[in-house]
Amino acid sequence: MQNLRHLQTELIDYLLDQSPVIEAHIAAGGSIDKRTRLNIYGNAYKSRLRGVIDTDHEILSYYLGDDLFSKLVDGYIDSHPSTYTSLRDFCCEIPMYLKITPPFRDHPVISELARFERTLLFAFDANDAPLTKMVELSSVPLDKWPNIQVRFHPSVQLFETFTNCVEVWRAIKQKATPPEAIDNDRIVWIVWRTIERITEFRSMNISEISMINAFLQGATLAEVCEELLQYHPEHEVSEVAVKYISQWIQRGQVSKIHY
Amino acid sequence: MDTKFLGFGVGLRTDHYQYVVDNKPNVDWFEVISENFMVAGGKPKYFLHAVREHYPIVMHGVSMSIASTDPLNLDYLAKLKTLAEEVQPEWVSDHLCWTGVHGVNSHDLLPVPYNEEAIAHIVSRVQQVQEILGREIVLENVSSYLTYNASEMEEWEFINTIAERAGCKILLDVNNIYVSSRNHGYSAQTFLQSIQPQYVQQFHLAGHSDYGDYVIDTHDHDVPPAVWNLYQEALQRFGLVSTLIERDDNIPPFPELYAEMQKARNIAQRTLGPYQKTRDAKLATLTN
Ligand SMILES: [Fe+2]
Repeated sequence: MQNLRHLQTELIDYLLDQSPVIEAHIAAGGSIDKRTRLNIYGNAYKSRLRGVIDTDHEILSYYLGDDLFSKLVDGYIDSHPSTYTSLRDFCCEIPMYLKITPPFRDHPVISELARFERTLLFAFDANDAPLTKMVELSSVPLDKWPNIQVRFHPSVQLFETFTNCVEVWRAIKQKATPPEAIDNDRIVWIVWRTIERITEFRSMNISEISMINAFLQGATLAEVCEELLQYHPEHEVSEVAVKYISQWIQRGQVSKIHY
Repeated sequence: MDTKFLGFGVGLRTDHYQYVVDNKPNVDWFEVISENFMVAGGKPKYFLHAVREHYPIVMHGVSMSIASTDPLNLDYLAKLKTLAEEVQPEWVSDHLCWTGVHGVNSHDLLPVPYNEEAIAHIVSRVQQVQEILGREIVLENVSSYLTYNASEMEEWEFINTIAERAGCKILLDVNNIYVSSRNHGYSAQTFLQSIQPQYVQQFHLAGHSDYGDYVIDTHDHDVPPAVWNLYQEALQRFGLVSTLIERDDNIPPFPELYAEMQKARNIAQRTLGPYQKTRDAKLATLTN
């Protein structure tokens, strides 16, 4: 197995670093020379990975334009050889790469756009789970309401950003001109997969964010209402809480009402 | 595993999920890419089950890396086994190649030297994989663009020996035979005539890109005349073998792939006469 291992090491070294050592072990002859033969593998390697980045990050690719996209592809492939079994994971370091690598790092919206696309991909094929219906909420006995805990569908994710990357994403998706990149105050988006298996997202206001975070951490409705007192007068709190829970259920974001 | 004849199928691709579920085309079976369904849930899984309800399925993977000198990827094999339990495929296939070493994955189907060292290594790994999965596996000949000085035999001897010693089957990709024969200057007929019929479980038919001096296995074109001719010769040698149209890029509307599948059906009927879904009789006459 030792000789086989050497050959494999040398061919991988060629693909990653264009190391020419393997050439001595390739048979000469035929209608093309050794270098052309190796080149076919070299090109296939790069173009496959380029295709994955282009598919997984279609909107980013459009936003960057050809030159910057090629710069991303070349830089990322060189610095992040795949150690993944599945190509699905190959791009998972792209947001971080864009965040720390010039010239991309000077425009935070670029890295955020990539991170948003990965959030959408995650929601797309996250685990399946049953969805709760409104009747399950209304059938909770009155004395149990304070104990209610909301279990979200596995596709539900929160995406927090200080840029307008989602607006940029949406404009490009709709083939419109993207708005100029700007820094925002914190915005939190909820991303989820609907019952029709379509990935959706919407932004949330401050009380909804605090409520959803509390439920995600396992809080009960009584504890959540306590939290809501920061944002709403006491007599409105339970009404607000029920309104949000009902909306989550109707949008297909909730898997179980536990009490 | 018997060499069951499934008929004529098409490789299931994302673009066609909805079409297939809505129209239930008259396809005998589908081949799916195993890795596409190694996800938790959502659309891919939904469509896989919807298609499985109506059709036999073969699972075709690209990540087994059976010839790699890295340890077997047990995590991958566990996922493959789970998926197979879920899908109940007719059989599970991958490629006679390696995809990476030292933990790096090229995501390409890389060639091996055709020698005893590689045979011994691959045979022991096939046996381990078959043990883990609890079933025989089927390995496909890949297109290749280089050969190593370390090769001691022809590719067909190499393939036959592995199938014989490991007790696995062969997925004969007719296009890959053509592509490799052009790139290495050997006769595709000799390749076909040298493969032992009892090992052949399935055929792939696909297109390629011809650059004159060399040919690349791009799977982005119709099956070209040279491959159809070779297919006919393959039918004459191996009898009825489950046949699949494989397209990975530049995916056309489903009816175009369906038409190619029909063409394969017609060629098989012209070559071998009306068929039933068993090739045992034909195989017996071939091997006697
Ligand atoms: Fe193939």
